[in-house]
Amino acid sequence: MLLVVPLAVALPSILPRVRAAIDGDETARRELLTEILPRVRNLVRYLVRRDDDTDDITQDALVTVLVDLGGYRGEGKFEAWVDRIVARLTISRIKKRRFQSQRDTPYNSDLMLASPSHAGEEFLYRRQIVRLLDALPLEQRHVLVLHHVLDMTVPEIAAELGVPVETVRSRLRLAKSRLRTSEWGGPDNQESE
Amino acid sequence: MTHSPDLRQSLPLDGQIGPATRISRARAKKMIDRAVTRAAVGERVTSPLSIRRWRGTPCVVAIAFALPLTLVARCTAREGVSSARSTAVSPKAKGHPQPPNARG
Repeated sequence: MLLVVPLAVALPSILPRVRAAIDGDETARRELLTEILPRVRNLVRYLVRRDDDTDDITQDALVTVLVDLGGYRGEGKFEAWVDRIVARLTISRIKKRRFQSQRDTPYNSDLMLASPSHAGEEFLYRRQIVRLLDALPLEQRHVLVLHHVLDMTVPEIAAELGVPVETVRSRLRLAKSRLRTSEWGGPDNQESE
Repeated sequence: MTHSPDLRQSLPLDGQIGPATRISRARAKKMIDRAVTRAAVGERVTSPLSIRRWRGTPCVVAIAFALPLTLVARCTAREGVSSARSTAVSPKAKGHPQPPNARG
């Protein structure tokens, strides 16, 4: 018994529904995608400036998750594994497409649906925060999201983005400082659209 | 909203309160159908950053090794040819008598 317990702890375990999806069960795959879709969409939206780009990248992210599913070994939480894939793909796509232009951010009506309920207020609050993120330069935004949302360490982010550790620290500091300024900065940050 | 400690709570990934969680069922189904179809044909959307970063490395390494080797090999070959030529052209230097038809 004493031998069995440490072994059971040490061995990575994959949740049965994830295992079924890895094994190619199409129903399980669809259910898994349905489950992770809101999370993937949220993460993509935290990383991109435009609502319009969110669905394109989310679509590609879902494909990548499915294609790479066999590479999940159960060594960490499945959601964390998905987050890494989504973040990597999103940043790669942004670099590729050069989404850096400063055009106005059109807000997708589907994403802006709001109801008078408490959930609606909560949703609007999240949207407000996303607008604060939209004001950040993309490099700073990515570092901020990777660090504070995905809990990645500074060296991990540096390795992921291929930039020096000091650059990551500096971007993180600047992003926080900008957020602080934009939050209490004045009327520019109010909901004006 | 205070920042560092609460940033994580302000940027939730789970639940139905994120900024992009609202999507119609039809649209979600369409996205999932498309993803399953594309994945079934083994489509790779784009190479992840870390992989792409390493893709060029073998080429650079190969060139870094191959180029000097080629140059050295070429120089050696050229030297070999010129020394062979000089040996063949000036046998006098080694004290051999030049045959009468050597120029032909």
